[in-house]
Amino acid sequence: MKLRIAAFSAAAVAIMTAASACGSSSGEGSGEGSGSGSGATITWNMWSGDNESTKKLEAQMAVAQQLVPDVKIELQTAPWTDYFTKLNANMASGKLACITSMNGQRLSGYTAALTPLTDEDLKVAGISRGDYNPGALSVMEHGGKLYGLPYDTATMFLYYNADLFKKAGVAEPTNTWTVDDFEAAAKTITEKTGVKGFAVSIDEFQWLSLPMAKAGLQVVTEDGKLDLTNPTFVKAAEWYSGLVTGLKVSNAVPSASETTWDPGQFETGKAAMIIDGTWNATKYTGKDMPFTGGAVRIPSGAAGPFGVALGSGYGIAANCENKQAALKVLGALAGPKVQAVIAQQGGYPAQLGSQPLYFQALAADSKEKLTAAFTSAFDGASAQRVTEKWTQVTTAFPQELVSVYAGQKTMADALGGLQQRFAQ
Amino acid sequence: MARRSGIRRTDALIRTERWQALGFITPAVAGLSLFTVVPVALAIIMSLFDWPIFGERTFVGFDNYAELLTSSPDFWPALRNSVVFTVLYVPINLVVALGLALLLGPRIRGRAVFRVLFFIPVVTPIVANVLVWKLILQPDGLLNGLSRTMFGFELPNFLVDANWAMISIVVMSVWAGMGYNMLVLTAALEQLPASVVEAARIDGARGWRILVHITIPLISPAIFFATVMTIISSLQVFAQPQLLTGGGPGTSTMPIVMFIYNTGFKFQDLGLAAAAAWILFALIIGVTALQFRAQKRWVHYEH
Repeated sequence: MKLRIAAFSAAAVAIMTAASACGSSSGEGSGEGSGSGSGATITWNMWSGDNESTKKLEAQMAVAQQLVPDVKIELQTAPWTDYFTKLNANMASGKLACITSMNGQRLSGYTAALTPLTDEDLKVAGISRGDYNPGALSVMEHGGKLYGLPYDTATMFLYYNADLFKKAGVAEPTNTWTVDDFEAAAKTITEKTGVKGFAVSIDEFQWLSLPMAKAGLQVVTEDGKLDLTNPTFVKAAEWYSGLVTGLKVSNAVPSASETTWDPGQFETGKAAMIIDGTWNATKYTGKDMPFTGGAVRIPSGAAGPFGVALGSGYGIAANCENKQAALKVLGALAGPKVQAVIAQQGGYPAQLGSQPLYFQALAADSKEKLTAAFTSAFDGASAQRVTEKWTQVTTAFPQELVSVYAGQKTMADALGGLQQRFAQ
Repeated sequence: MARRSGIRRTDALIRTERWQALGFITPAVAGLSLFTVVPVALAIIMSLFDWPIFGERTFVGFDNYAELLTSSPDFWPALRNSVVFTVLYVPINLVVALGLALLLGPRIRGRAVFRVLFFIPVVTPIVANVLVWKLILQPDGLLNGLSRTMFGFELPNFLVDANWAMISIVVMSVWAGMGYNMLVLTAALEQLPASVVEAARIDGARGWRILVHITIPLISPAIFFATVMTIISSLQVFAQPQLLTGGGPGTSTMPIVMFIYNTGFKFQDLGLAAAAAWILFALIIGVTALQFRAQKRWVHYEH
């Protein structure tokens, strides 16, 4: 009996302790950074899915380490698909790394975990707002506050397999291509080569970009409201799904879990064109591809050229104990020396002064075309707008779109359903 | 007097053994408390809070439960999907497992090899199993390829067709999970009392009659165990739909555990996720309790 009472009391104490722990506000915790000033260790958390990407990051870290010899930088990585889940787990346990990498489109869900950067902070980091294109910092801004410094600037490209264009006798895409040119080329290639002219996507910007360009508008209004049911966009999106269901210039995506199906189709020569980010420009036009690859800006719709600027950057965790050391590391990682390394590695740097280095580092045979594509694609590109529930929207995209491509649901119904679920 | 001291010695022994037993059990109890009781208690508390992954937590009482039951667009479909999966998967799994166990009876040569073969999917990582099934089920996969070349017939796109996606998951899960129950039932079949079977045979019972009236009642405790455990695990299904169909098309294959995972770890609402987890827990406890009540009617224990 006594034992039973003792066990009951122990359980009660455990529950009370847990309850009192719950009552306290979060945001406490140390952050992954230790020591103060000289000799401090600052953890840098970044996504990386393979050894090659990790090696690139290590090369960037080595350069940053030379710039801040008194602070030790430690790199922690997780693949892109798991990165934000890991980040959420880190946040829940108060263990967010002092330097946390952040994707601009997901920033709105993480502002509570990052510390806003003031002009004083930028001074400590040795970075000036003038180092960036006007508006380039906006990818890391939310509610008028700056939460990080971008390390790259990106937009979406149309990538193509030049060998298939040649085989079909179709002229290669240009930066002045319209959606009609794209459609005609996709049809001819499909008919003449037996290879699909295009591979549609179910993934965020890989699928959104072409309908947005055709419609000439974003799916989030300027005041931050989800606008998936805008009639102009719905019409453009119906045209996009019609590439599978009507024109049959693309296969349907085989499962909602296949978010990277379209790059796979392109890389293995099963589709002549895809939409993907500029971060893959050197890869898709490089010598390792089994065909000659090319890149141009997204085809224009009736309203003219349209593009959105995307980007990622590094912020400082709100719970970081050693903000001064973290600011120094941030300044090094986002600064010109590391930007030069990023440019050499095929990333398009965020800082204005470093961008020419990207073009200088390009292989001779793709230099001219890629330089023209980049110049054209960023011309007039506006910052990508997102809503508070953007993560929910992008999680639901694949599930809805596979039904549309399979012909089991209309695009209007799919978009209407998403709008209804995630508009508030 | 001698008797009295004997009693005292026994009492002392009992006391010593009690302390020893407590000593032995303490690590297990500590582990259970730390990794089960405390998290479970925390989850109850969490479900009563608006508990973002980061930031201020506020007590909301039963609001999370109310939100799930009345306004969350995905909760009911997810719960329905888990129930549909369980209703389809459990009987098929048990019938296939029992069929295999009976087929691989003592008269089959090399039955140990077959048992190992059928058990391999159970011990193979689910990710590998799913990859193989994706290659079989996708439009340019093995199944459709064979159908196209042999019969000129185009099969449906199994993983994105609303009618076929759940069936595909069930078929794949049965393939991956049948080996476990097969082993449980094989063990039970090998323990059949020979005298009872022999007596039935002498009475003229054969084949189907032996199976229905003798074998199944005799192995009913094993069938009961397999049913309870399979229902629990299938209400917790996650990996197969996550990897095979991504919960799609629409939300037609999103089970409740995927809903909990998304709500907690993707959408950062731990309070709502904890409330959903508790509803699932209540469902599992309820179904299991019902099964224990119902077992008196059909489970035959040898006393």
